[in-house]
Amino acid sequence: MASILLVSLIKVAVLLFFVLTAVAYLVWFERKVAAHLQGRWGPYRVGPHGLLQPLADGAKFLLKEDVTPSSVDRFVYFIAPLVTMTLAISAIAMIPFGPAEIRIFGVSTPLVVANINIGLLAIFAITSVGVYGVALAGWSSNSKYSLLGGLRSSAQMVSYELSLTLSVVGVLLLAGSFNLSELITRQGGFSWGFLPQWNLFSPPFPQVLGFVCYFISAIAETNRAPFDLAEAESEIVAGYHTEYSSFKFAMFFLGEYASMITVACLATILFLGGWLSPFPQTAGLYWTHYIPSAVLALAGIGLIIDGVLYRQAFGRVVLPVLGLVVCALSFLCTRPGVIDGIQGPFWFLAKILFVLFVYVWVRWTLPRFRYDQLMRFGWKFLFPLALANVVLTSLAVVMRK
Amino acid sequence: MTPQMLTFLVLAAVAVAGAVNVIVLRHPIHSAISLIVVMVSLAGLFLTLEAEFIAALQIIVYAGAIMVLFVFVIMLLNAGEEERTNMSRMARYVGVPLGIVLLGELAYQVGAASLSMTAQPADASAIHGLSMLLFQDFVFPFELTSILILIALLGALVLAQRREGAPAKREQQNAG
Amino acid sequence: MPISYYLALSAVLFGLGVIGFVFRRNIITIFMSIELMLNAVNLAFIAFARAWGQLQGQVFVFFVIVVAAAEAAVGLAIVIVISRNRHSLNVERINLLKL
Repeated sequence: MASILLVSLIKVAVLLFFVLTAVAYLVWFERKVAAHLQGRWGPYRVGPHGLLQPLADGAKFLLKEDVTPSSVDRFVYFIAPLVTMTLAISAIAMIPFGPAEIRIFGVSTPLVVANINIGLLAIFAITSVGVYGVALAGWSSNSKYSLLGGLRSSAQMVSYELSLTLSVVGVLLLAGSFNLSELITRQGGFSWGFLPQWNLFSPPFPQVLGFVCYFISAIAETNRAPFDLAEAESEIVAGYHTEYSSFKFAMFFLGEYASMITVACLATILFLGGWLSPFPQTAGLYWTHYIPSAVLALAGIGLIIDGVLYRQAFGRVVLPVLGLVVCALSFLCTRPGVIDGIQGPFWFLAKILFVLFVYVWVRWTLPRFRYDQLMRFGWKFLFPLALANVVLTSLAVVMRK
Repeated sequence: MTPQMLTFLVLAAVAVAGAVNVIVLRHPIHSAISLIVVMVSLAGLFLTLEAEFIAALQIIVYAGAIMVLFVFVIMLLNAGEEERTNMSRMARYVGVPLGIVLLGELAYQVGAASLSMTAQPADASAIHGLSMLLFQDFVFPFELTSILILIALLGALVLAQRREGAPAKREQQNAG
Repeated sequence: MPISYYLALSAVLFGLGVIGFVFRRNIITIFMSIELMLNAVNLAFIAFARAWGQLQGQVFVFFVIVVAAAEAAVGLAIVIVISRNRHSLNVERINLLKL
């Protein structure tokens, strides 16, 4: 009993560390992608290729002066960013990262912190309560712009939550369970020998409508462009986090990017097959098990070459060392003990990176919605679309029987 | 002190503290936040009673939608703190202690009643059983409540609309 | 884990809801005390559903939550209209029908 508790605590600590690092480097990733989309370089000076920029941003947030306006409601002003960040990070506890079980201190435990039977419902419950962080932050700041921005933002989140949960019902009908690991294992198998039976291409009824609906609702739910009217700088000062400074603002930021990661993880689990590999697991295709180490080796060699030719001396030292570490990891991935275990997490991370890339791409490509256009789109277009998806999927399931 | 007892005590303490805060705090927003705390701890208690679906439903619908409605209305109506009037001396010195005694007596009698049966183990997959009941035995109330929600939606929309000419009347009042 | 502990907690929460309903003057807080009472009743239902091993209690809680949602929507719409007309959220100011 005590060892199970200890193992859970270790998993929680490791996950927390990875999530916070991932959120910080997701900011770097977004700035680099945005810059290259706009024909410039992005962060380049702070460490080689701007890799130490998140560190600098973190230091800035911690060392800035924490200004609290005098007429705010102190208790609510304090807990609003806490609520946002805590809920956003705790939603990742339900995500399974791989099929295998690893042994820590002799206890065999799956690669998920909380494998509960209503995993999907729990994540939606956390998203529902996350609306309060925004609404209370806007209200407690005691400022017109904050209140308006907070109200608009939370109304938007509540409206798109409906389409979000409805677009997932098609997947639930096909799988018959709320458990996230089971949802992934039901997407195993390959139709016609080569097309993976992910929910996006699933045999009775491909969930393309559901995926599109889910993705758009997810972008609106996390208040990202093109649905970020309530917090964009050129629109309403900064909306509900106008009056927040230094660490509290950083908590809002962290919460937004963490919920982005959660939504991307859910999208891959529900529609893109989670940790399943896109290649059939036959003996003839065993070479696909070497893809993770091949990718890592390419990345390592690229880093070494780029490091040797880098301009600053610091980069000339750090980048080749990093490249050598990545090459060593790639060699590690070919060892028999690791090669089977690394497949699940590798494909999962690859799919999440793809979804996040599309997320960032959409943000820096499309113009912003006006608020009434946004609400009209959510209620009059996406919601009927999600309902239609539910009806069609249930028809297909019934006809298959 | 088994883990179940400890969980129950912690969740119950949080629920009672939240409920007391709901009726004691003066600003409606603070009462609303306390009520959300009560609902979340009740969801935890539902989990200990093996009603996982209802627990998730409680958080998604009750704490995540109905209370958001309350919070919106409080913010839109700009509700301020309640005025502080002193209770009558009889109420303060006799009423409140007697009320607490009554509540304690009620709780004790209910808690020590002969209904102290231990919980029986429920069968697996409550969601399956729940949906079977909902769509077979209780399908008529189910459809009725969906119509009820539709009526409530329309009613709320119609009630809260501003009539034509009402904004002009308010400006007259503000100017005069 | 005796079920009667859950029932005692439900009774306490219900009593606190009644106290809030009787003593508070802000109409929204009165509404919230009503929701507190409904929650206490939900807890009692679920406790009994667990004790008897039947799921009808949970079905009833489902309906209570749904009806509470409908009631909150209409009730808050009425509150908005009242506050627009009387310009106050104090229940004692809504006394036009008083003799």
